[in-house]
Amino acid sequence: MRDYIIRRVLLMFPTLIGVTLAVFMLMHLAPGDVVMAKLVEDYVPQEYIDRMRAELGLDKPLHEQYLFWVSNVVRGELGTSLWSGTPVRDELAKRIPVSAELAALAMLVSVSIALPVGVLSAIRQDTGADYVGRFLSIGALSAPNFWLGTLILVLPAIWFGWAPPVRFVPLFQDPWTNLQQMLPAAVAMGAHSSAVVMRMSRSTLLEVLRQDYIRTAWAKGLSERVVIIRHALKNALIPVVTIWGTQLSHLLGGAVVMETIFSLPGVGLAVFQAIEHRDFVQLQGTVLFIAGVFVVMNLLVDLAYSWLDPRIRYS
Amino acid sequence: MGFRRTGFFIVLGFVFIASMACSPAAQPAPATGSPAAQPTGAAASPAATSGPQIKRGGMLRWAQNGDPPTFDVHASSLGLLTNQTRATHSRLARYDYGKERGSLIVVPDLAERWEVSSDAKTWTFYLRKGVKFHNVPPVNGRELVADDIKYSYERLMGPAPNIWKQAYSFIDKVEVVDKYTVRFQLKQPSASALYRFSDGESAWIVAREVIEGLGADYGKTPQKSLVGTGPFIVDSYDRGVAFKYKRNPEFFGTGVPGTPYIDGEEILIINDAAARLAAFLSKQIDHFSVPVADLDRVKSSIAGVQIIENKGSNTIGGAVINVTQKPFDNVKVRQAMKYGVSQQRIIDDLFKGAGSWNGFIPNGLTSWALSQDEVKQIYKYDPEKAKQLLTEAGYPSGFKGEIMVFAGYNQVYIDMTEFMVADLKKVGIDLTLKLDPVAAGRKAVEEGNYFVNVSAQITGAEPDEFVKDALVPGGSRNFSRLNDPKVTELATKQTVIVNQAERKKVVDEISRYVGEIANYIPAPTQWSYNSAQPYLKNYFPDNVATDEPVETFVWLDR
Repeated sequence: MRDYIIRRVLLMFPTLIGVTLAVFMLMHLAPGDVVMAKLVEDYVPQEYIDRMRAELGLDKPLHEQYLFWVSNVVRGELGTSLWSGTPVRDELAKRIPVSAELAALAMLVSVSIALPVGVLSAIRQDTGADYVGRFLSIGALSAPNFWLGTLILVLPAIWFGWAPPVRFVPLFQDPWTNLQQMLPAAVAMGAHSSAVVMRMSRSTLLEVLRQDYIRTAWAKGLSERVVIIRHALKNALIPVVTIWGTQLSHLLGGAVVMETIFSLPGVGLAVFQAIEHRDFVQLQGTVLFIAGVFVVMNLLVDLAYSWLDPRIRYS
Repeated sequence: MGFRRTGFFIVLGFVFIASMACSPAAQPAPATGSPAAQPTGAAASPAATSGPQIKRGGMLRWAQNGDPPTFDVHASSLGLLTNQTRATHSRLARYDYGKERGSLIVVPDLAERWEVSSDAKTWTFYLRKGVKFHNVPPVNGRELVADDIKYSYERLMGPAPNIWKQAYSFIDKVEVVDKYTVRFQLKQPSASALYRFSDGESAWIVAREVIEGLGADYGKTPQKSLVGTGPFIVDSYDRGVAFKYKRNPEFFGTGVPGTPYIDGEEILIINDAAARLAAFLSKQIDHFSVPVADLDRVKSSIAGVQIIENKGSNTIGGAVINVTQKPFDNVKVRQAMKYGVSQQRIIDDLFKGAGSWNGFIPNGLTSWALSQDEVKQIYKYDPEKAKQLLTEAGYPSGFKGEIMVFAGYNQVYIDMTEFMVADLKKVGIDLTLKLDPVAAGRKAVEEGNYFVNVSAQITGAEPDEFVKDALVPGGSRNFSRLNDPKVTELATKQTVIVNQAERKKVVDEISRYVGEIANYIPAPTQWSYNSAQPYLKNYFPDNVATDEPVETFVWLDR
């Protein structure tokens, strides 16, 4: 097990380097840079633009710019935002709790919907409840979350003159206001995620319920609750956990659109702003974090398998 | 069966509904009897506000779509920054608030009066006495003096990070006459200098000890950098979330005693347009620039909402033609292009009717632009005449060429270029639309390595910025590389005429002549709309040059 973990951790590095390199190249393939983003309204002499580029190190060859950034990362520095001049590390430290809270709430929404509906759909297969559950899940899967988020934000404003408070307040400063801001975004994010998890829960549970050992459990006269929860659900959860892991990674790092729509100053909004400002240092630092979350979550998911199914062993 | 987890959903639903019910926005809207829109040009300044009862107090809340890249007041012209500087800083002079937009009447700000020499080369400003900087370190409420003006302008004339060196290069030197008097010697006569001294993007007066005291850290945080003599003091800044300002109790009033009327303002950072709409509809922000598509929604959702229509612009948007490149060096070819492009079609099809025609001086500068009727005559769409001119120019079958537009700058210019390309193709001018990155495109335009470029060519408050800069050899924005003795003579003539009516005649002559030589093909202006809650009074949003200090003069009648 230890060797496996070490191997997986070592494999993280090429993944992370690959991701940041891809982001770096994409940012430089697109037209414009941070200097032009800053001076978009101004006609200033070329020498001024050149000087600004030199100050930010943008006059150096691309490989030098990238290697300089990597050397900073190795020393534990994520660099300084080319737009605001603030350290990327500080910015991330401020934003991670926001995204973490949003991800946790979205996950809560997702699980709270997906698991009961998925299980109900499975054990009541081809009944009205099943059809309703599947219909809703397909609806949630089909609706893009930016569309759902926009509707959740705008419709109450049009109908009731209400919208979530727009000025962000941290959870511990004012939990009530914070929840008013977070919950609508979490519902929009969780709805899509819940549909994925619900469908997976339903199909895996259906498969498990047809296994011989479940028939044995029924034959032993165990109650429905014991058969479903203790015997079927735990085994059915293995693929579901994989999906949860991926979904949580998405929610933690990929809430770009939701955080932008709901003005939540998290990691996702940092990505949006970095792209808007052509700030590749901010973007790479943030993407590095997101990629790290994905890699670590995948590892945790793999490790969770052996807990859920003792037959699985890593060596 | 224990699998129905309906309890959670009930709780979730309850939390959601309860949060809506308890939100401040759910409170009943303040009862006001305000009309649907305040009339443009209605009285707003000191004397004028004697009519309505001014109500003091309250926080103004509105939104912008990001954080500024710097808090150095001379290092950026982005609205993200000037929204802040107009709250915290002052200028020698400013544009009158609430007057008809576009008229750009200059009134005193830090200076109580000024004199200009007969040759328009010497400007002397007499400062108000007793104006104090914010009562925060390192200035601690000290009095503003002529040295501060000299320091600020020398910074504006100086090197980076100041971006305005070129704009202020018309000043030769700044002299302190005495504690309250400062004199500007200009390199050349300039009737327009006053507009530069009033400029709401750049002409902010700063204190030496703030800038030199912070050194390399100046511009990094608003609390330490945005220290001026303006109506508000920075209270807090949460990057990505909001700016908060409190009333400066020592504010000198900028000629309007008692201002500002509000206790402070909060500028929220809201990136998403739908979120800004939701914030306005839920009365969490007091005013915002409403997209055309949402106009009806806003009108029907808030009883008594104020909609302010902006039909003018201070920007020449359109095609600039490089007159040194063949075949565009032939005036008949350029005229053919002028007659081959229909502003009305862009207005009808792209702007859905909500647009105004433009001549060379943009329509928002109402004191200087030609009338809409005359502009429509000069730039009328006449494809037959275009074809005839092409034949006369030696291109009876038309020609092929290239039209460049900046990528990633402003989508409306790309859209308008597509219309122009389609129009011109009908008369035989087959231009390929080329998208260049802004940096590369601008460089090409500045160096003359282009044929035709469509963009927001010039934004300005006064004719010199269009005429002298854009039409005279050596002008900083003479992108068409024009060298026409008649234009040069007229441009040089108008810049020293201090009498506005006399000057207008010459400016009009230039506008008509530019229509003839057709080195610019103006594009129409798309109307824009501002909306304000019914309780926001004395609100006249700026849409023509200058960032007028709206916050200084509005009040909240909740």
